[in-house]
Amino acid sequence: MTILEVDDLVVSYPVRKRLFGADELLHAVDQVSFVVEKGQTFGLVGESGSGKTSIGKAILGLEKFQAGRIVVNGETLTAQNQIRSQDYRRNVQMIFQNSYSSFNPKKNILAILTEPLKNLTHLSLKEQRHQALELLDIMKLPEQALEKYPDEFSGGQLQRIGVARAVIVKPKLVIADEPVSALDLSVQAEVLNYMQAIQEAFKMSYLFISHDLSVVQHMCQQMAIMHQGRFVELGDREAIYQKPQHLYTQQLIAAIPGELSLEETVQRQQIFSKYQAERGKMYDPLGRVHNLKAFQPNHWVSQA
Amino acid sequence: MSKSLLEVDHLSISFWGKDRWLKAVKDISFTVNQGEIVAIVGESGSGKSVTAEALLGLHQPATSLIDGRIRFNGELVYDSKASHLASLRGKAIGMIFQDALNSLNPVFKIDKQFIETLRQHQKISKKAAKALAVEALQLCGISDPVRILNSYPHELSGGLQQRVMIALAISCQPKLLIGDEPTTALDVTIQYQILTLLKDIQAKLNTGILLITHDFGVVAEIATRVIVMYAGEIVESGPTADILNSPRHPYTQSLLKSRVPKDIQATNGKLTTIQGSVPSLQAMPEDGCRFAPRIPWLPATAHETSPQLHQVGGEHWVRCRCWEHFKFAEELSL
Amino acid sequence: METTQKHLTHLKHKASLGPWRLRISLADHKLLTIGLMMLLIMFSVAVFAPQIVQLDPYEINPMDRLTGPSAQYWFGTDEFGRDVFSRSVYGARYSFFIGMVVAALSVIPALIIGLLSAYFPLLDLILMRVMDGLYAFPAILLAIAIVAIRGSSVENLMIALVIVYIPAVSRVIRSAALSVKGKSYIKALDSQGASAFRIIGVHMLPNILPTVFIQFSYVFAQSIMTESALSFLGAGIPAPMPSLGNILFDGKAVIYNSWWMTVFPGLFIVMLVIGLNFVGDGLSNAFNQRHVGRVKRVKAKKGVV
Repeated sequence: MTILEVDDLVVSYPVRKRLFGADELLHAVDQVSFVVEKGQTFGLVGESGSGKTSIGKAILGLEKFQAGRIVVNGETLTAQNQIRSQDYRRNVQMIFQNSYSSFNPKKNILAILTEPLKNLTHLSLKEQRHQALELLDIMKLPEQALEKYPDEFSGGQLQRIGVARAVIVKPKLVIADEPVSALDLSVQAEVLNYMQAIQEAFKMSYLFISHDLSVVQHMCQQMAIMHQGRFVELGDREAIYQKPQHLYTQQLIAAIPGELSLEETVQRQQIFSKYQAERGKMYDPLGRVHNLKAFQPNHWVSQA
Repeated sequence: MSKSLLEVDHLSISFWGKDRWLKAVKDISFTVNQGEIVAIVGESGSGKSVTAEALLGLHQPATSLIDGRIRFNGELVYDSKASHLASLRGKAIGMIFQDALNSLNPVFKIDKQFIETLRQHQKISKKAAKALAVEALQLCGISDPVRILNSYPHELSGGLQQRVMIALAISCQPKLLIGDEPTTALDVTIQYQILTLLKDIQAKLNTGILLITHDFGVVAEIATRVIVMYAGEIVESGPTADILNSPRHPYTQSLLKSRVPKDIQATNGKLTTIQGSVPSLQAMPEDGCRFAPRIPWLPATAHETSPQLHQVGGEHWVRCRCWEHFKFAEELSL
Repeated sequence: METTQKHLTHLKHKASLGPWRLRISLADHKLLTIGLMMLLIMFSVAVFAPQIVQLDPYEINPMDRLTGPSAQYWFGTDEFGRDVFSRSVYGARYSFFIGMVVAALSVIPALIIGLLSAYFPLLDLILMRVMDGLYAFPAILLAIAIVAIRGSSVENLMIALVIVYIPAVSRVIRSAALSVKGKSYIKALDSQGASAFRIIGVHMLPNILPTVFIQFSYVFAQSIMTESALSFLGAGIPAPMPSLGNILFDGKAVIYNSWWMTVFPGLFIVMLVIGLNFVGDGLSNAFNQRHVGRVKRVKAKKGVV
């Protein structure tokens, strides 16, 4: 069952306003389409400026989109009609990269966790508190945390609270925007484990946005690599990570720092040289990345 | 025989916390030689950034207490009586920070920033300073230095900004470079380029580099030696290959194991985590193995009461003896 | 090796106001403490005026006119033989009262206007233009105009001051509210289903409270000074009611011979105004310090945006 369907999505910003004629636009997201199934984790990988965060914001409603369709749990949004119902809001929630800045510093954890419940459900105060406690339990946070304030917690704990807040209304889709990028290594592992535990418990789908390919391939079954607002490769993780076809994907994987054998080092240099030499071929005459073409079942590659 | 550039001798750094001194770094000693890249690895609360800042003389004497000795190029530059650290900054010790944009003044063009920095440390004309700037930028892989010099910081991409910052740092020809997470905020391809650049600088200028990082990938790429810090102490140190391939201290082992595996595993593979959390500055224990509470299945007798560093290989040192009996929890099927 | 120990003064008092999270330790904020003490003294004077004062502030004793401070007349007498001490105390009482009322009646509407303007761009356009118009009037001239039209009374004085202060305060509150509105946690609230009024009242308001308190203290101080100035010009509190300003006005003529009519009420004004300014500045410092430690730590761990 499809939870999220994105069709030819366009999110653009005016970079230069003109007095006569159309404004010059920057397409942060340039006709992107993909589908996320129920219970699946879909990874969006890209470097900064690739547009991956804009997709998440457009789906959530933090940004307006200019063309295309977004369908969440059967509810359709178009460029002309972007009004989201309460159901939609309850079905789509977000985990932020820096949870601390997404919390009102003057509110305690109970207030922060129950905010979505107050607005999107009709639970009594007692039931709200019960839900909050249930999630704290899953996140292995103590009950006393409810009365504390955001600046009393560490980065890892804050991310866990951010995850708890995102799932407290039992959404069908959670957009995780760089949820672990700012965390220490061991804390990153904890939060990723919790995210998986939540997914198993509540059967929700994740749209996992990150620049870190290793983390994405660990969490996601299906992924897409973005560059300049478009997809260069889309498919399941084995296809993308083990048999990357597009030059951009290949050099992205090659750039991951780590211990490399002599053979791997040589391969890496070859990929980089190839990328320098042939990168012009990635774009069409208009400067846009080529459209995706089917390569194998569940593996699409941008090609001329 | 490479010359020793930086010698840190029993350094302890404490901060005043309302009613007593809180020790952020306890008795660490290490050296950085010419032409070496030494990486200090640790997580938040390890004291790694505090150490780097202390070496640059960035702590306020009013609220901080630094014990120990620091020698640079054989000369004593810091002890309880005097500190010459600030005078070394920029000239002999260059620094690169995480956020290039914050280190570059947004209202001045790049050339002005170079000229100012260079003329602060040497008596040269603007023209000569500009020439040095061009040289430094070229060394950092910038092919059109003149255009860059004529730009404002915000007109450059993140990667270029980082290169400019590194060029600024090396333009004064420092013997030692200290970098605090210089590539953490960068995209992976730019990170790779910057790491390659640092290796280049190490090779061409024989500069010593002290790199603070939390990323073992970065360590594997460029570090000659690694120092692992936990809760203000050095828990393990040695050549990169030793640390990555045969880590001894339970913290190092746990940290390495908690990384996302390189190969694709079955979905829902759980990552290894470390129980508990890093002790806060206020709750730092005075004696005993500081990592002990996080491996509670190991009996108290496995730890030393006053854990010392022991040599376990040529240059491989480990603190405490708990590593001898250490096994991961799942191996003991707990 | 020598180590220097720092000896800090023992923490005196920790003020904590529950859900609003305004925890500040008074020992760390000397400015605030001194200001609060000065205000407390003046507050006691104002509130306990009937108890403190023995002599009738209106009673005329022509025999004792313009005598210096003595055992009977602590602050001396004025040109009608009235006790300057009791007049000063009651003057302080009225000043305090006027200051508080004007501050409250200005800040509350300004708060509403500021918040609504910050949140609703269309309202912003309309409201701010109206405020701009009112802002153009200098307080003193407006007060004189109203007094000329409606007559001299305490109420008219307060009306004039309120009209002048609402625009100024609403501007400041609007800017504070705008900067809060831009924060990530406010933007995130939409996806959590919060309505506009909930965002404004429950989420934005607590975050601009420091600004509100500071504005309150400044308006309080300003209105006292303006009232004193107006009374000094003869357009404030009508005679024979005592006001710190009109005692100064009367004392101006005899300043060389009867310094007590200028010095003592002047001292009261100074205590009030400096106290208020210290509190305002002290609060401003206190609230700015609070989140510094946290922000620094978070910034250090920022990843790719």
